[in-house]
Amino acid sequence: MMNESVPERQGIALVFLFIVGDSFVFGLARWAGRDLWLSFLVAIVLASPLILVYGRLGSLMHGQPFSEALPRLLGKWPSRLVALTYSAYAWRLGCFVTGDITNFVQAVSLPDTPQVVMAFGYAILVLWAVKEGIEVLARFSSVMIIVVLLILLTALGLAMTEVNLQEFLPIMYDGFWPVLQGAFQILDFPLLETVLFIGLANALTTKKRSAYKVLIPGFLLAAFFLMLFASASVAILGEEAYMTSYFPVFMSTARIDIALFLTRLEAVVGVTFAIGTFLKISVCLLVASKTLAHTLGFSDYRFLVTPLVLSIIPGSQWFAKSIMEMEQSATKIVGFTDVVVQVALPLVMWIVAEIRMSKERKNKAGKPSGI
Amino acid sequence: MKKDLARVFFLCAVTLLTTGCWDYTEIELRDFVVGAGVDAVEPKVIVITEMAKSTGTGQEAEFRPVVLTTEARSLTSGAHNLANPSGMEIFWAHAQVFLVSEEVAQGGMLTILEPIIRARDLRSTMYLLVAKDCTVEEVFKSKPPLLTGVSQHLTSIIRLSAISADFVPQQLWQFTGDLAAPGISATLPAVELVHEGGNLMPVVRGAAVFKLDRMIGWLSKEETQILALLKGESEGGFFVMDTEIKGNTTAITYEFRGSQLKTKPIVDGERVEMKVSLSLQLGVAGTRGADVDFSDPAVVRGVEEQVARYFTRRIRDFLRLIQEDYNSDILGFGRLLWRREPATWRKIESDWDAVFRGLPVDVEVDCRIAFTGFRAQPIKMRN
Amino acid sequence: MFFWKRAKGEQPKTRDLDRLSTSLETNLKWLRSNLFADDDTIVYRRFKTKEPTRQCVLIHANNMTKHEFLSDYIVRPLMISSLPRELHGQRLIQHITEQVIQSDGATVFSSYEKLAEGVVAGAGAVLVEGCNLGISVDAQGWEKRSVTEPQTESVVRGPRQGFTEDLGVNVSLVRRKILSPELKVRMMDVGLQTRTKVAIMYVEGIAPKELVDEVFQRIERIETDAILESGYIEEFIRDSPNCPFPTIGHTERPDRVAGKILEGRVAVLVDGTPFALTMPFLFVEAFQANEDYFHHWMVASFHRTLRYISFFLTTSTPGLYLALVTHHPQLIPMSLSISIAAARKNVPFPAMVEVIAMGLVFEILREGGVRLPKPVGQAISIVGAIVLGEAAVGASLVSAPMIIVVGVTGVAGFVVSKLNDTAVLIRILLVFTSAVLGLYGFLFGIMGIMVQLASMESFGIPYLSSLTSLTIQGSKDTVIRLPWWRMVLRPRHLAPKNRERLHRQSRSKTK
Repeated sequence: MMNESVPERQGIALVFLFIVGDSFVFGLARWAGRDLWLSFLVAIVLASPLILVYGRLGSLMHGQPFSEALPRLLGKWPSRLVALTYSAYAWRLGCFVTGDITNFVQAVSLPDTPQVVMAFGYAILVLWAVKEGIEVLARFSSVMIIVVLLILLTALGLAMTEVNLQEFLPIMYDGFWPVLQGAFQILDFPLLETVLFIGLANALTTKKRSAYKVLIPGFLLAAFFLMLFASASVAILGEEAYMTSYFPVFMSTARIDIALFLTRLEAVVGVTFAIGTFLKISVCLLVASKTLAHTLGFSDYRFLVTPLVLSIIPGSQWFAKSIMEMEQSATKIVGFTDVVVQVALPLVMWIVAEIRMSKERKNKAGKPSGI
Repeated sequence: MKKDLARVFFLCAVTLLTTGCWDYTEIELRDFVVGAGVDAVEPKVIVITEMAKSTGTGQEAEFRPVVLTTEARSLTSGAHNLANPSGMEIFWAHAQVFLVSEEVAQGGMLTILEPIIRARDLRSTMYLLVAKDCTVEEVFKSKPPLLTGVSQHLTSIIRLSAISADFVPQQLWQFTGDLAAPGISATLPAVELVHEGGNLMPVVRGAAVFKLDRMIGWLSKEETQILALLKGESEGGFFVMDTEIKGNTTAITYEFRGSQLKTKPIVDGERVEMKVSLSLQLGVAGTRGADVDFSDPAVVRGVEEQVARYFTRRIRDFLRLIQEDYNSDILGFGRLLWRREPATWRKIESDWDAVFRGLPVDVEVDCRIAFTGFRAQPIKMRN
Repeated sequence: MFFWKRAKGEQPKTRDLDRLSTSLETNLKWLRSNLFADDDTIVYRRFKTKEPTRQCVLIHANNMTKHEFLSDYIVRPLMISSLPRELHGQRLIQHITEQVIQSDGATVFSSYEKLAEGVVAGAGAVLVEGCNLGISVDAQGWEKRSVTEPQTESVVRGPRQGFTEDLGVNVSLVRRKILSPELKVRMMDVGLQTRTKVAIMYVEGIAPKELVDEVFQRIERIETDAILESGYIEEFIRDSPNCPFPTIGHTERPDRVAGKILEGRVAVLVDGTPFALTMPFLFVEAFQANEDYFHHWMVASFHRTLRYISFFLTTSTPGLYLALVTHHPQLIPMSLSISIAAARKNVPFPAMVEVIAMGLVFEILREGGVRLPKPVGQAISIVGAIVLGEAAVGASLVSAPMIIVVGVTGVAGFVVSKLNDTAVLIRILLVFTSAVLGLYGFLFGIMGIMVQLASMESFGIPYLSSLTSLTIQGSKDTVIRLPWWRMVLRPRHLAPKNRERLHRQSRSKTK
């Protein structure tokens, strides 16, 4: 397999779209209500060390593909177990995200179109993109990020007349607990879903550049962007509407009304949501196929893509049977699986990898003549 | 070759998908609802809709409003029943105004609003109005003098609110937001029918006062002007005031050129007080020919003081009305307290109604004549 | 690709021909009966040299040569010269080429094949009695079109030169722009029958060596009968041959070719066509016009932006119109949606059929207008505008908004002429996807196209290169064009090694 490499800026765009892509329409940190900006700050502070761990794990792989680096770091069988876990997680996440978009489209725009049709359309596109590989995804995202930012920032600018900063007051009326709840919710979805990029770290790392250089800016940009949008939505809609509607950002852009002509920009926001979702599903499925290929001991992942991608069509309908389930999965505070995959497992992997690496270094240094 | 396969697959999928167009509806088969209203909730919901029906084709196309009325168990089913008489797919997303009759408003708005805010295709920027002394159906069947259709007429009036302070427009989201926020009660503008050249014509003036979701009374046009001022939403409009200048009393028409409102809660131990400072910029629009020389600073100062006193009095009356008669916090004093003094609010939240009834409000009005048209003095007639 | 493989086994590379004989008569006989049999344009001019008399013959193809040149510089010197008696064979031929024939291009040949090659290409071949060698003298001379302004790429400001059908002229036009020995021109013959001359031009030190080698290899692999236009070569050597987006650029203008190869590209000029190929070709190049570089950079950037917008309009207007009208009327302002509904009221066709039919009619009109002679072409536009437009609306066959949609689509398409034909295909795709899923279908189409574009490469360089760099230096010549003194570096992907285009000193001076 050829060595894949993604330029730095494209990598940042990829991470940014991955995080922002499908999450910004949801009521992120809705538990915190008007204090959600605090939740975001807390979440960013809490997430940063973990992102560093992800980046460190990526760097320890030295740009080798997942299937070579992981056994070196963790040993053969543990690495397969880890790969299987991530494969399942990535696949499940892909299903959830597909469910999000199909439910979203049905709820806001195309009520009579069966969700399976949307899921099928996505599956076809994702299938194609995943087969093309990470470089194509990165190029795709670096063009699309311009489109997405242009649309969203224009919408935000136009919505500025509706912003009422009074909505943020009083600060922490209900105490710190809701803020913390909100923070955990955004950690869980979407910030720490970045964990999937461990599986793609070989493309993000080069000899000169470690994975941090892509992960950290992408993560920070995305987090602040989400904070900006969620806060603007609260300031426009008010706390109550933010907390009770399924798609607050969508609702808040619906309020834009410039001279009776520039109205209903929410559909355009829906479009950017669809773009981000596509990218996220693609990344999920790419990781799922790569890790599954490693678990099963194959060196090429491409033949696994078709069954995995096609299986998200029923999968999405299974995981999110209704809009309520989808909403709950998106805005639940903490999920058990997520804690394991996003926090516990990376930490364990990191510690094990560091120990093994330092031993290896010692061995090399101490016994230059071999065993 | 795998890439090509994927491409072929993509094209096939597109073709397959083309076999079904689920949400495809020709635009000419849709009926555009431009305004709607509810006349009664019990025993059956009476839904009135105004639709834009186009007649003629090409350049001769015209729009004719068509009013349809239907009865049903709920608002939603009523709305769907309309498809039968109209024979087309009802399209709600362009509805701009929603009217409720007085009875419905008194019975509680939530029964009506709940399905509306849930609906996918209704805009949250729709204007809500209450029909005063008439039914919604009568409003929709009245004849606006210039514009085609009542909804368009009402929307057009509401959009003029910047130059008229006779009402405070409320969009759906504002109303529901006020219902949900602590320490504020909602108001809605009222629509009345007036006789004009043998026709009945709808006008928007005054306001309906709510307590929770039930309407409890009306505000007159003049009271609504004060409401607009104290909500900080007044940007224009005129008023006439008898002004005493050098011993003579004359009626002068003033124009609102702008106002700054500052409402501030003052907490002193257990005592809570609101301080309302309003500063007005006025223009002089006409004096009925009285000899008033606005180039004289003393005259101006006198006028300014009188206007300030006049408004202080009107505001006091208004506050008495809403505090004692209606006991409805439509100015959002409670919400302000909640935002600025959360600790105090936590203590008095449970009996805010009682606190609000006796809440001392310090009113301070400051007025400045900023503009007198093109002239400083009226015409001086000579023999 | 398939074609090469199939062609390989069938054709032997060279014909096995006898060598020239020492007897002039034998040679002529052979030529008349075999090689040039049934070819009446071949002229055999027999003449004799002065004392000692030797029989000579000049063979050339009529109208392919300059007759005066042949008689003045070959026939006359030979006739008046006296060739030393003792010289024979190779030494005699050497003497003639060195001392008698007054021409700069003369080569000695020894086989019939070489003779024929020269003669059909417009050389004069001299055979001398008693020698089994001949001399081929370059005397090409045929009617050429003069250098005129190209019709497909006319400019308001800029050079008015365009390539002609003559390769030599074309190469010289480019060479006159770049007076540097670094400019390399390498010639190849392609096409078993046509033996078309192909020139590969690049600037050494700027164009990466791998790129030049790749171009050579790809052209060498072509095995076909005929190359009549550069389009033949383009199709043989291009990347993504099944994708309608061009991956090789073509131009009629020498200044464009010069500009491209100075950025590190390779140009391929083909004899017999004014269209030169440049490679690699990136997506952004479709939106660049050479005038952009002559105008003020703000004006140029505005025009660039306009082209991108036009491309969006020409590909998307019908699809978007369909999506909005049939799926999302809430996105159209109320009064407009009511008037569209009124306009469509008596139209018997669904909006989708209307869109497709009108699109087809427009394409038919365009195709008719392009191919027809100019006076008749005008008639077509009258028929199109009045009869089809006005009457169709009047007869309620088409709604008036649809005419506007078609109009916008068509006019915007002409702005980005390089992608006009690609745009038609995209448009059709988007119409179909929009009809199914509204705006989301439209988006599916767009995303599919983006994935395709992102996966494409042209000679090893990602097709979207400049657009995906997300840096100022990288996107200086894309949607915007920065002023020349800001474009310090050449595009990274094109010339990775020799990147500095402006020297630091001159840069600081200009600022």
